[in-house]
Amino acid sequence: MRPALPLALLLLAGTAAAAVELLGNPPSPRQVASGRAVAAGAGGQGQQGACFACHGFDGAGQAAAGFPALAGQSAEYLHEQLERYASGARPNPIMQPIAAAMTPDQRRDVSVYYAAQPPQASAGARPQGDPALLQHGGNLSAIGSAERGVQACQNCHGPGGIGLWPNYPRLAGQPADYLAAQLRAWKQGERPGDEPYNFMANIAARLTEDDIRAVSLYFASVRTVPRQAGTGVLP
Amino acid sequence: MAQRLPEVDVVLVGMGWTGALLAKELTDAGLKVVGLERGRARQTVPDFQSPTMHDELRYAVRHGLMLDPSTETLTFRNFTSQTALPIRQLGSFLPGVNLGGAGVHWNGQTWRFQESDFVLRSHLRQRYGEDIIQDGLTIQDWGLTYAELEPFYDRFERICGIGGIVGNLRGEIQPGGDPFEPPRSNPFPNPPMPQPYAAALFARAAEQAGAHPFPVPTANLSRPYTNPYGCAMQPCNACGFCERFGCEHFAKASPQVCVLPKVLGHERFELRTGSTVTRVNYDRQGKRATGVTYINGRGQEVEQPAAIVALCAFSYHNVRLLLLSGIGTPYDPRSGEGTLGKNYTYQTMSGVSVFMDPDVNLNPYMGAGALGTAVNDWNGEAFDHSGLGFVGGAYIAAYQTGGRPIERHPVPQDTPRWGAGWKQAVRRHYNSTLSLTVHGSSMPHRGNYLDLDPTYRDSLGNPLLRMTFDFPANDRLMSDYVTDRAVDIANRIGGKVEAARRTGLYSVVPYQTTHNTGGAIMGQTPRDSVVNRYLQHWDAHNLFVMGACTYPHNPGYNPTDTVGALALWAARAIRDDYIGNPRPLVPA
Repeated sequence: MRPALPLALLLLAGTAAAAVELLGNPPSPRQVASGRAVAAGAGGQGQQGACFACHGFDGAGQAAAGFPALAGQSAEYLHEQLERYASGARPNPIMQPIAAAMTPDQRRDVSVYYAAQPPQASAGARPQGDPALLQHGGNLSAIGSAERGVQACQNCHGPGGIGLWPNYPRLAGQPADYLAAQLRAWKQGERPGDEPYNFMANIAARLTEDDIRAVSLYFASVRTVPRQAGTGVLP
Repeated sequence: MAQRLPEVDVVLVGMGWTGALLAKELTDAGLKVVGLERGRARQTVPDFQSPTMHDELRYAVRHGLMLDPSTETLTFRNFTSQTALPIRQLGSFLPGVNLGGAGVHWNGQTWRFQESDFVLRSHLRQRYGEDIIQDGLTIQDWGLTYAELEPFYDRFERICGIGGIVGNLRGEIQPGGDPFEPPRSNPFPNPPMPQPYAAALFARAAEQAGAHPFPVPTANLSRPYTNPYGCAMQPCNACGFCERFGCEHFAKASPQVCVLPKVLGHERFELRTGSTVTRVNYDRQGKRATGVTYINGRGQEVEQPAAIVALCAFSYHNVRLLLLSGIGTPYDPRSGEGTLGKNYTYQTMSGVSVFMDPDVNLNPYMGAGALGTAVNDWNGEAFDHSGLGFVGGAYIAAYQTGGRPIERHPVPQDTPRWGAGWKQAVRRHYNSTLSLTVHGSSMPHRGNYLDLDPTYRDSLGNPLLRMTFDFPANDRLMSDYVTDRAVDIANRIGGKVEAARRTGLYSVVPYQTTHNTGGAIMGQTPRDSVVNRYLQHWDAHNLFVMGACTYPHNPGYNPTDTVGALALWAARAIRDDYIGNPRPLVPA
């Protein structure tokens, strides 16, 4: 029984500490600082590969340009994507050279940095679009489609697409163009799935172009809450 | 006066696994098939989607997918000298309800029986002599052999997309698989699931104990897969909501995912939900079933004549329907005469918990129904029973089926039952407790049987089924012996080890398994069985009885693989041998 005592005391120290304990380690200030430097252009490509230029220091991304938000994603998810860009497993002409030019430590640190940024509250203006399309996207998110043999997005990505750490990325509030581009890339085989599961390649292949536009519009229009930091569990 | 409908070729009573398989195979054979299901229709989308489906209170605790005992239940007693009382709240076993039946809420642990199981009495007599079988055990041969059933096991496993490592490929023992499994004609259609840490710890300790660990054959899919019927399945993401839940991911083999997409909407198939069958209509002179009578969704009595009747309801529901219909001779435990209700068997379960160091993280919430590693070194005839005083055996498995918050709270026995001490212990042990399952066989005993209750009736006024059961001494000895082996492995894993042994009378309160077997058993002659080797009733050649009620004993494995294989085997016999020339396929 004795070894349990320190853990129990730690957990009793407060809900914040308990939450950290459940979600994983708190981000180390050194890693966050190092990650911020990478975001500012300390990676192998220098300023040309500075994350902030597209994703912002706050990790909010740029909806109009289709640059995804990084804030509030888990460090695990971000790190895995950087590794996959670097190796070419996730092909992308912009991200591949940037990620490959970073050291493994830089990829890790910058992932921790962005994971530690709280997602921004949605601004007032939400994406405009056909209400019927939005409704269809909401249906796909909540219950899937019997006709296509597709399960609900929120089975894995959480209610409204808020993400389930550490594996499943947040979709809520991501640019519709970014989401649609990923689904099309999976559907057309341009973005390989994760062997052996191929979850998303398998699902995207069943979606029509209308489905893709609908579900992307839906998640882009979900309001994100201001405070929802994903600390991740990376050391 | 019952409404009488036009005759159809086949009427199926119940639309779970066996109903769905027969519907597919017999419509393919050109027959017009009607499937009667007392529950409602349901599908993966929208009925099983989360977060609704991940409601532990509704589904795991309050049995949301199970048959409501206020509509039909059974009565229970341990011995004939007692008065049986109705089970008003489900506990020890959980019969499913609605389309797909228990095939929706099962775990997906998919095991073949051993070659010796099909010829158990002959095998035991030959290997050990008649004395090995304790007095009162009514063990008998099944009337068919493993070799005959093998192609149908293979086909059912392909329909389900089972993942595993072959251990015996056409007689050659393969590395990494179960060396004690019967020979397979083909490897598994899919690889095993990635094994969790707990399974790896168990495997290492089991090897140290001289046993042969392997990943449990799983119906939780390990990759995208399209089955022989053309139904597409998707991989499991180990969400930990299999047992007692429907799968939202098309990732657990079920009638909904694997069969029904190619049956529903077929021009020769009609599904009628809300249809509760009350009788198989029987022509005693002609020795054939003429059809069934059911209560439809409007409460009207309907007669559906059919050339072939197949009972595809849950195991003991089939037995009850035969008893209510007066087909066959009810078993009498005093004289040993009669066959209907005889050889009711169950599963002899025990468990071992290993309370490990608090810094061990097993992450039990990351689970799937059949995710885990097992050993069969002490199951069935894998080991020598000489001098042990019992027959049968059990597998030992480290399953990780999910660490859901309400029901998973493993604590050592000396923990307070409530309050701060209990909470502290739950927190301490939640992530570091490894559980071993000892999944044991159940041998038939002349005192264990099913019949109709003389007192209690269901909501339609028909007598309830009465279950009389206690674990025979043979099975208690077996369970103790294999639990000792599990304790040995647990000690090698390291930690505080506690065994939950099979003690006291059988109780219907704590959950054990939904592996209720026997009662309408198969065999070689009408004197010792209800159905022949093709699951064809001895007293009505156009009446077929599916499911685990046909097992003369219950081996130390989960029953579903054999349920599926037997259904496909019977369907083959109906299609190729019976339709062209309807008759008893085995001379009585």
